[in-house]
Amino acid sequence: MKLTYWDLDWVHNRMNWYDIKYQEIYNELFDHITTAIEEKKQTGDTRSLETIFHDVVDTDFGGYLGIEKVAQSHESGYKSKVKKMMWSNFRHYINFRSFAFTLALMLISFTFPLNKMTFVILGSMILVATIFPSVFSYIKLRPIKRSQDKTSLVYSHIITQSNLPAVALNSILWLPKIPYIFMGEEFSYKIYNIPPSALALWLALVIIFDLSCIRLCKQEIKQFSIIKN
Amino acid sequence: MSANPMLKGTLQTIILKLLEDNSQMYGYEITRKVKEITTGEFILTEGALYPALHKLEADGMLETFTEVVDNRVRKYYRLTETGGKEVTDKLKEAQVFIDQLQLLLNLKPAVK
Repeated sequence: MKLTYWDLDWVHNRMNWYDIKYQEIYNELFDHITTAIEEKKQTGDTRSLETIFHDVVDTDFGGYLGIEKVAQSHESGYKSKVKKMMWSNFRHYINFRSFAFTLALMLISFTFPLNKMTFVILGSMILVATIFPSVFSYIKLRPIKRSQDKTSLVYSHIITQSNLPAVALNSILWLPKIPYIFMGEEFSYKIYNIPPSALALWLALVIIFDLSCIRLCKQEIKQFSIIKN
Repeated sequence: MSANPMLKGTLQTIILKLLEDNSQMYGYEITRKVKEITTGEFILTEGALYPALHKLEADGMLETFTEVVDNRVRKYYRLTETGGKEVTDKLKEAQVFIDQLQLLLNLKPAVK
């Protein structure tokens, strides 16, 4: 026996009592609970929707805490999956071609003079490459639908991965200054004195990371090609 | 935890085998199928099933896709190529385990 629109709405409102942050986890649990209720009604269970709902949550999930535990396991499982995929994609792009590209870029950079102009050009290229995966992920993952009070599990974790080059860039720029703050001395190293070959290596690594991130987005968006029945 | 604690170690094998036989399934369908096949002797609780499914997905054994069914989003699981290869190994492992258990407990194989 199929649940009516109002029944589904009741279950939806009741499920909002649980602290389920991510839309994908919510959808899976919602479908499980409503299917179980429908099946019970189908087999002649005449109890109220509320009673059947509590019965399903208690017996199938072990109550409120059980639901939270399933939600947590889903999140940690997905987090580990994204990390594994990202690492596997990164290894996919570490090949002869990328090695030759990095080597060529570094060899060319040896001919660049060590001045502010070289730093500005290479630095700008690094900056664009650093921001690129975040912008790409944002645009690519925008079709993922979610309700106002939920966030997407896929979106959040891929964006976190996409922001890693920006985190690395910030760390490289600011971390060396921290000891000087504590020592009360002035940080004397000029950033444009970084050798162009080091900047070229950095740029090549960020580009490889960008490619891995693009691949990850394409792999993960596939599961959202929703088929309507 | 599954209702039968002995199921715990073979949960992944059971899921992989069911998905090999049924090509694609959703969470509730898996619990129902286990109950149906074992005529209610084994009951998979969702607290055990979903973490196992998510672990298999994270390990690249399963992939997922969604379908809108009766105004709600349903998440289906299916085997990846790696998962398909893993089923045979897991089944062999389970068979060896059952054989050893029979030897240890002096059980005779069930006669059909």
